[in-house]
Formats: sequence, C-alpha cells, structure tokens
Amino acid sequence: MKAALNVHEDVAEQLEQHLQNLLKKSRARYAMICDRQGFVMHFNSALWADPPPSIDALASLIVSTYAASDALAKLLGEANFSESIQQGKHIAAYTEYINEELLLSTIFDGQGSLGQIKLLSHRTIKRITPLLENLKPLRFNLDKEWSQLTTLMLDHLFKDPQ
Amino acid sequence: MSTINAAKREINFKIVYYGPGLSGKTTNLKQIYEHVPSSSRGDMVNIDTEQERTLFFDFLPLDLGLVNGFKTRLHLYTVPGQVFYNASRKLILRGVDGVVFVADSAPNRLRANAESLRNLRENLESYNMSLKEVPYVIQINKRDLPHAVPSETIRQVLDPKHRIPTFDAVASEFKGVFEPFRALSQMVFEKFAQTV
Repeated sequence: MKAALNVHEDVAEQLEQHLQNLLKKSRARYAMICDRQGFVMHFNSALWADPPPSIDALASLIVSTYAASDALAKLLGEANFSESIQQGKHIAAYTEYINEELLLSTIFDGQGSLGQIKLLSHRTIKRITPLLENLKPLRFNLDKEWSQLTTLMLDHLFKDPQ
Repeated sequence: MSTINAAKREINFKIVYYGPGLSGKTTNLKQIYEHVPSSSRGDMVNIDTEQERTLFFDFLPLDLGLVNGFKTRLHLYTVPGQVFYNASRKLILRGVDGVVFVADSAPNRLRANAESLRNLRENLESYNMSLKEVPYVIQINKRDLPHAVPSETIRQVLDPKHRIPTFDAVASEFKGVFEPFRALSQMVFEKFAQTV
C-alpha cells in the first residue's frame, strides 16, 4: 500500500491562493481539487456562496462521474475526455483533468459563464501543476500503536459491541 | 490507495463492499449508517435504479476522530452486483485499500459467489493489484435463510485453504456487520502503518 498524496502545508497555502483567485475571477461558488479515489485534497468556497452540500459526497460523485466519462472515452477509442461538464438550470459543474491522480472541479451558477470558467480553470491548472509535481514524500510517525489506537476509535464509534 | 493530507492532518482510506447481486452490500452500509453517531458520518449517497438495485455505487464517509494528531477517515463504497455492471465495479475499485466480500447464503447463489470473487480478482488485475496484497475479508450473509447453504460449503468455494477471515452475518439485523468491517479496517491500518 502506498500513500498517494503527501500535501505539504506550504503547498496547501499556495493551492488555497490559486483556488481563491479562480473563484474571485470566475464568480464561481466552489472549487476543489480531488484525487481520483474521491478524496478531497483542497476545497474553497466563495465568501458570498451558500454553504456547500456534503463535500465528501460532492467529491465522490464528481470523481465517479469523471471516471465513467473516462471509461466512455476509452470505449470510443479516445485516450480520455479531458473535461466533463454537468449543466442544470441553475447550477453547473466543470471538471478538468490535472494529472493521472488529480482533478479540478468548479461549481458555478448564473454569475459565472462556462467559457470563462473553462479558461480560468485551465490557467489555474497550469499554475498549480508545478506545485503538485514537486511534492516529496513526508515521513510520519504512524506505527503499530497508531493502528491499534485507530482500531479502538472504530470500536468506540460502534460503542464497542464486541 | 490511502491518502495522507498533511496540511489537513487527515488520513483517508477507501473500503469497498463487493459481491454478487442481492447479497446485501447496500444493507451493510445502511446498517453501519444507522449504528454510528451522526457526528461521525457524512451523507450517504445511493445511486440506484427504480427497483432500488445499486446502479453505480453507494457511498458512506466515516470519521474516526484524532489519533496522533491525525484525523482518520474511511470512505465506504458498494459496487453494483449485477453481472452487466462490470464497468462500474471496475471504476469503484480504483485506489481501494480493502475489500469486504459479501457472499450470499442462498442455495442458488453458490456459483454467483464464486463468479463474483473471480470478477473481483480480474478487476483488481486491471489496476495491477491482487488479493494477495489488498486486505480482504469474507462475510457470509443471509444466514437466516431457511435453506441457507452451510457456511463451510461456501467457504470451500471462496477460500478452501481457510486463509481469509470469514464471518457469518444477517446484515439486515446488524448481526455480523461490524465484525468483518472492524477486522478489515484493522488489517488496512496495520498494512498502512508498515508502509509510512
């Protein structure tokens, strides 16, 4: 088993800045970077936006929708579909491939236009890609004791039915 | 594949409930949802058909709390069991850290159990993974069926060498739901602790 992403705090701060810029310029509600397993790496919300729905559920659905679209591309003989768009009457989601492991998704309403979102998402990806390429493995003190304690936390969650 | 987010002090794991159609994978997730405090779980997502059969997946995020300054989170998924949804099953397996294989005790589902386990192996292979390296446990569900196949018979089909932790269950009554989940989680945590 290998840990997929080691997000350093300094990188996280820079990602935060880039996503904030994306939100500000595009007038989008939310922007998030998630990995292809459906875990959120970074999430930002515009100050004016309503509180987001469950971010875990959002990421899980965005990533699986993208994965299904990617599988469709392969079925049709394409290497991938590099972007995915879901557009409703009031809300839309635009998701774009960053690299093999990560996606950038932007959720927007009538205040943002798809063309502008696509352009700014693309620019953001260009800026954050070097940050993500330079991630180096971190060492953590997560040993057998951590494993045992975490299992105890799981027992506690179920009020230790054993 | 587990994810460490050092900035957010989070460790994330992905656990998948796999098995033939109607074996009770969604029931397991629903029971877990009902038996953990609402403060420790997120919204459960079900993508199912009008007949309430899983179409793509079910999803349940759990938050175990802080240990050594890190918050541990589990994302639980089910796959659609019906044979023709294999493309969806394959997608859900991406980056999996552990599998609960949910077998069905019905007499006419013995072959379906075996085929589903074979399908799991094949789908893992497409990600260059195998059941030799991915922790998994077997839950033999629906033990309350009147003509349930003996657990040992099912085990002979799925794990003849008795190497894999196996649990009897009646998932609809929460019997045997927690134990395989706990055993698998422990295996996943131990494996993770050896690698970081």
